[in-house]
Amino acid sequence: MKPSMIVTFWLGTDLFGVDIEWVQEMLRSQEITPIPLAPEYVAGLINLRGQIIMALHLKKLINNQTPAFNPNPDSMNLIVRHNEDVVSLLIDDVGDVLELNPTDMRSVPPTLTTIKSEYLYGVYPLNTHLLLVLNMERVLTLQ
Amino acid sequence: MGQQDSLVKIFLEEAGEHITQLDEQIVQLEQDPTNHQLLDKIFRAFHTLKGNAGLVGFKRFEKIAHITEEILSEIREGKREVDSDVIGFMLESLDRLKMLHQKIEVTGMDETPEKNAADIQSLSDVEGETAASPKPAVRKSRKNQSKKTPKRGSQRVVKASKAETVGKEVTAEDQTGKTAAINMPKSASDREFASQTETTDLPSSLSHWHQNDTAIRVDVSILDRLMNMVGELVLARNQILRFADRSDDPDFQAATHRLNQVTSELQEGIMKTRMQPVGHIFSRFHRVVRDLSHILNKEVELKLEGEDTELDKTLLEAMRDPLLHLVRNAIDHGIEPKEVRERIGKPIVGTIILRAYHESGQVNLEVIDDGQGIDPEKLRQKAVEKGLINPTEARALSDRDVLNLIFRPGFSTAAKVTNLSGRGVGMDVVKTHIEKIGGSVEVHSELGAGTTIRIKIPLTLAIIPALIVTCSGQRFAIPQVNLVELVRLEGETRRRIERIGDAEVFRLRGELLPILRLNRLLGFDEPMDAVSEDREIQVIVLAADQMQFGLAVDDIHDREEIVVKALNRKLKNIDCFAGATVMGDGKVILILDAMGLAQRARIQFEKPLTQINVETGYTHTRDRFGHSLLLFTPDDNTLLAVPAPLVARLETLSPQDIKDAGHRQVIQHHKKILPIIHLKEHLPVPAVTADGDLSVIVFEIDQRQVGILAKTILDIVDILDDIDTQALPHEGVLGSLIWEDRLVQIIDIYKLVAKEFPEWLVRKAGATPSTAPSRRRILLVEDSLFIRSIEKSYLESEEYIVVEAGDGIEALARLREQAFDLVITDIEMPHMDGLALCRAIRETPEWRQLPIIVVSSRNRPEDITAGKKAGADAYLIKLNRDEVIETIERLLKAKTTDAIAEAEIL
Repeated sequence: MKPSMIVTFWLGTDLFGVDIEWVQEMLRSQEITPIPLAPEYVAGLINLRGQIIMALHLKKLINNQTPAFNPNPDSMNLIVRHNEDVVSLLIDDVGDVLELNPTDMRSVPPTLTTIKSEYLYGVYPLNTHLLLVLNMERVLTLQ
Repeated sequence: MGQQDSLVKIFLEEAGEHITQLDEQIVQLEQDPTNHQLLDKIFRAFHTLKGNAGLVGFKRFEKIAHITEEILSEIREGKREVDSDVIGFMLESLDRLKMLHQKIEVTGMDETPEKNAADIQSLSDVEGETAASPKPAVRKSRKNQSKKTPKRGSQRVVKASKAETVGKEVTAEDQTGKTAAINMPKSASDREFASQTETTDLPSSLSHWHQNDTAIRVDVSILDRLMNMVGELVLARNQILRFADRSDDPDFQAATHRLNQVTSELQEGIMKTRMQPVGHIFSRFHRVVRDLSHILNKEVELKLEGEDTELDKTLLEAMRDPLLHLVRNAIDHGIEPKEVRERIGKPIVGTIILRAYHESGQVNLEVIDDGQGIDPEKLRQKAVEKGLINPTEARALSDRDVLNLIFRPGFSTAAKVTNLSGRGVGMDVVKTHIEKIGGSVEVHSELGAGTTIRIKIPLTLAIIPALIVTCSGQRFAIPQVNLVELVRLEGETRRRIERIGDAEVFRLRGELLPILRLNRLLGFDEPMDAVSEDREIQVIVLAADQMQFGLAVDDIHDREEIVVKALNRKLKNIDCFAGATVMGDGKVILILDAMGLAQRARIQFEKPLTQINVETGYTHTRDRFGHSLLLFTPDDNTLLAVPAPLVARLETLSPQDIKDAGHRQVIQHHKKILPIIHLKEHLPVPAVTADGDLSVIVFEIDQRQVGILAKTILDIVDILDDIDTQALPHEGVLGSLIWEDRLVQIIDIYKLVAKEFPEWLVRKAGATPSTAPSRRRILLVEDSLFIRSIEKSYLESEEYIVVEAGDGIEALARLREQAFDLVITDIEMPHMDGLALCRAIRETPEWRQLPIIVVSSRNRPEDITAGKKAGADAYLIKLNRDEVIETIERLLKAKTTDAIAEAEIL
């Protein structure tokens, strides 16, 4: 089986990954225009070279409970693209791009309660960490 | 698969065009049955439709086109006349093709496989049915074919044999379903046939061919993307322009200039690519008019004008339904029945004109009929019956305003409701549709002569003018199109915000304007009451969805051209926002949607606010502190006006409400007595004629109210500074102007009050000895003659001696000539502005103590600070009489006290 290229990043102490197919680019912290009345996980709008795109608090979106959620002012923007839809996911820090073998992916353990499991595709048990791979279709439909 | 898809797409596009053209052409043919060129065109179109459908494999489509083509070819050969049966048949086939076209668009198929046999069967029925009267001729011609017209025999043979094979095909398909195999040879022969006929017709088709040669098809999404990129380019250019402003490098500036020019041209060019002639939509109406007039047994001729006028494709599409509704209305309600037209001596054939033309950056579309027009009296009755307005209001409305009632929800103008229009929804939906795309609609009608409905739409939606505002520290854009006027509330006027339950309202010229606070609408958690007292509020009066409301924001900035960008689909359900835009500084701001805001606040109106200003309120934008005049008439002939900002409210009453109290007349109102000034007693104007209710214009002066009577309140109009204060000098008249070719006299209400109630104005006489004994001299510096007249009038009514100056330089000249007790100055003036004047005064030792009041329409905190810094003792807002008088007295008194104190020390 063809190996997958996974872009990894940090949300707090958790390591997440997204298949590189989804990723358009990575940006440093951008000025965000908040959108009143929008759902909490919508951080606002950013100006991506003249294009206006929506930025999401990924942490807020996929975490089950974040009692005291403080948006990180230095969040980086992971710009992902799905067809014509371009969205920025706010992440805490960027990791490496890893080449992984899909057969090594394991299903999400049912005991994982802090993260909404429907947003996860699977888990790669790496040497040092567990890499949680996001189900991007799910993330982008914002259910 | 993909290739097939794109084939189908091309087929649909082409077929769509043909069908649209055929609609028009067939109706034309009916009127001009001997037009061979037209007949040939129609024939070719059906032929092409048949051939293309065959190629892509749409059997039903092909079949219908084919049958029609057969009949057309018989006509071409002279075997059949163009009569109403034939036209009817062709239109019916066309309708079926339209239905199939839609079906293919949706499902990708023109038939459901399992229903195949049945469908084909019913089609043969169709043929039998529709051919009912044409049929004998068809039969005959088929039989006679070989005997007739030997000249073009060869063609006919091809056709005759084809006609027979078709008959066989149907049965073959029915039984075997091997359509493709059987079909192939046929379409091949068709093409052969097509090439034959088309070559013979070359001359007439030449022009068409030529047209196609220079045009290409481009997917609209590519144009949209280009448009977006141009939008971004415009923003980048704006940024560079700002750098260039700061730069001294002439080369850079030259290059920027060039970039600026090219970008503008590019923007225009790209916008052009999205343009389509309105003829695309207009031409469809031939068919609509024909069908409808047949059904209603009326005779109507449709004329198209300005079909070449171009409009953005999206806007054009959006106009289709509203136009359809208007044309239907015109035929149904506008054009009279034949007998009526004959009786009253109108031509029996009614005319409907669809006209398009450009006007000041907008496109106007007009639907004009020469029918019976709209009867304002009937409208009034109807509106009262429906409870939309009360009888008093109905009488108060001018005929022009009454017409606008047809746009109210629930208003149907048809005396008898037909199934074609007048279903109770209608014009209001049309209006909503048009407003949604930033347009406006107005109606003009002359009883007995016809009705014109004019729609004004912007050329494009992508770049719009907008007003930038702030609320809770965040900037927002409000599309200019929704803007009616801007009102600033502070101090005294703040009290005019009142509460009805939870709702806040503001009294604006006698009407209650609901106030929405943007911060609360958007859920910014700012404690409501903390906002109140000392801070001023900016209210933006918006019109949307048939209503007006005031939107309270923290601050108002400039107007800017913004490039509208859609929000992510996921955010579409927040209807407060129409999109977002990138500002010149690269920051993103949201665009507010007036209609969404109104809906969010669920504003319910007891009655619409537009009693006096139904039309103009929606269609124009009032400048921030433009001079607006309230126009009224005492007798329907003479035009009078008062400065609108001075009006406290408007009321309606019946003549019986006016009571005599001593030597003057008063109105009892809300347990208060409102004295009335009769203009006739002071001015050479006619008496108010009262055959019904009257309007009262109420002014508030020094916390006392006074009214003047009017027969009708006409409008609020904005005027430039073209008021003539000299032409008709009369005490009590501020000046005159020409409005719509009529003379308007502007009433000086302060002067009249001073004459009628001298005790009101010389207030505190004796209490402030400083003002009384020797009259104080005030230098009034203001460039607007109009404002100056008003200010002068109320100052003089307080017994001040007023000397006028038009700018700072003139003011300094006056100051050198004579002594003044106080200076009142505007800020924005030519040659030398108010701030410079203040500084000049303060720099001159003998004037250092001279009190200065700045009276301006600029009201931002930084303006006020600048005014104070320049040396002004007080900073006031224009036309706030009471505040100005109070401040003058305070300053003069302080000055006197200082002088006394100084004297005592010495």
